[in-house]
Amino acid sequence: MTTGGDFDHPLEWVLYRAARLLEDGDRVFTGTHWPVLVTRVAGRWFGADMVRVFEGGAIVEDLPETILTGISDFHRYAEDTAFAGTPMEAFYGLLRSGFVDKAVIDATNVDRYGNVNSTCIGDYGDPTVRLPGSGGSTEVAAYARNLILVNGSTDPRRYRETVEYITAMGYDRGGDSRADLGFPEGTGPTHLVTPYGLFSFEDNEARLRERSPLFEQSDLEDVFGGWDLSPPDRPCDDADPEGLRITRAVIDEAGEAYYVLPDRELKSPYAKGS
Amino acid sequence: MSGTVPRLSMKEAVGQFVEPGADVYLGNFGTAAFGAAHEIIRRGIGDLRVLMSSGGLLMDQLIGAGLLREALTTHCWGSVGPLPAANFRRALEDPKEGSVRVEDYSYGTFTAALMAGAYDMPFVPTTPMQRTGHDEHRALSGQDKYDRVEDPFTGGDVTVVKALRPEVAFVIVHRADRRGRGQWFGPRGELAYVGLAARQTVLIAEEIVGTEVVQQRPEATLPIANVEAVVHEPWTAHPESLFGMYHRDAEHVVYYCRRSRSEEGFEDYADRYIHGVDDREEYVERLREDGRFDLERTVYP
Repeated sequence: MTTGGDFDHPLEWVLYRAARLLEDGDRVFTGTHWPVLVTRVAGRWFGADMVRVFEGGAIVEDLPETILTGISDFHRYAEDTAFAGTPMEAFYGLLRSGFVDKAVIDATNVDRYGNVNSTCIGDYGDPTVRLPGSGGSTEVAAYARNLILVNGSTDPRRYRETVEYITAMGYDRGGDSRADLGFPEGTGPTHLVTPYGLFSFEDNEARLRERSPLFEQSDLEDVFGGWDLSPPDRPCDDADPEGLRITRAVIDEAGEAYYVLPDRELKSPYAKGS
Repeated sequence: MSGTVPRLSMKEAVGQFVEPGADVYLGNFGTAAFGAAHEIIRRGIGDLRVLMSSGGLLMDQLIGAGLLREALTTHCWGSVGPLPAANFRRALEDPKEGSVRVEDYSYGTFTAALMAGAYDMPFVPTTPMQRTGHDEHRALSGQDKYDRVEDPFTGGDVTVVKALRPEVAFVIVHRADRRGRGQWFGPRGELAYVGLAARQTVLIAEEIVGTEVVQQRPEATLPIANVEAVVHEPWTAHPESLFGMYHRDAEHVVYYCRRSRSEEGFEDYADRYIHGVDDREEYVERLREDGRFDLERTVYP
């Protein structure tokens, strides 16, 4: 790691950089975990008119007053809900039809083609590590245009040349293989934001576009075996002070809401003697 | 359907509608039927096949109690943190004789399968699943999950999912009347379909209201073929949230996830908060006694 310019911690860069891929007025299909924080940073920073779509079938307008612990923290966004429908409407209607402008999903175990595995490491029938499963990320990855993948982890094992189980389809094996499988034209991941840098998908494969100011090129080479790491032609911008302040405030809110944050101790429940 | 529907206690409802080996949908998406699950655990009704869109800590507790044979789900994890669902992980990473077997669905295909079940469709076109793990790895369903068929109109390939029709569904609603009209407010998830897909439905109502109240908001009444019973049970989804009525108890979710990291810790938790109480009222009372309950419940709408 290097001294990170304005950023103190890799997670700050991830949330900040992912938020900057959004614009005010966007209708954002928001997955659970980091995407909730990304749309919160964007909402507090510049996105007063941003709209969130959640997979249970909700369109949430206005930023919920308190941070959500996840997308099923229903009562926290009850007052901000402008449409209450079904997953059929969310996935096959709002997402597929183009109502949704952008989508953000967690991609904590991802490969260079943007395939995400959130199901299991090792054999499905006898996994070494069992992960949560897909929720609706399979549908988001199948149908979203402008899909942003967010991986908040610095663990090199979370970046694979190819994942073992495709929970959410990226570009499969690269080339035309996604299209050949019958996924709709114009869909597929456009960006992957990681603590190490921002990747964009060009010719259906992740390419480094900006290196995080917190890491050297040699750090990335140790992590991303088999990925295209041609050094980007431009450095990343200096942090916007307001954006960075809000990002830090959202991370603090997340800590209060019991998010597991890297390098921070999880807030203890029932702190008064349990 | 006319006339009144029996109003049962959770004890009676679980006793009547959940037999060993039963095929049960446990609702809802995120707002989980903990009251029903805890009664199942107290009675030790096992060998179950459960359908849950979001397994969460409720599925984790049923697994910890050793009561599940099979689970069809899209996700099973702690809702806060997000911290792992420890019993779920243990059962899959280090299975023992009789450990649960899990079939992973995506949330879109799971809902579509219930929609097909609701509307008398044998299967329904759904998300492209080619090369996904959900398609390639089938723990339970074999061919009875996804397939690809030729679109008769365009000749292209289309993924289809087979209809799901659980025997019994436990569904949480904000309010219900004596005729079994259950009203839900907020995102419907698969509740739009499961009551028509299931052969029998038990409604768990946070409030019991008169028919004239139901008639004020007819669009909120869920489509359900056979409401067999109505159970009145406030706080039924605790520690999860209920849209418009109460918050998720994030503190308790974290507490549970930490306790259940060991099997002994899970047993201790279950002894105190599941086996150690008789019903939902005592559960809330126990939490209060232990200084672990400070939520408020608002009647909605």
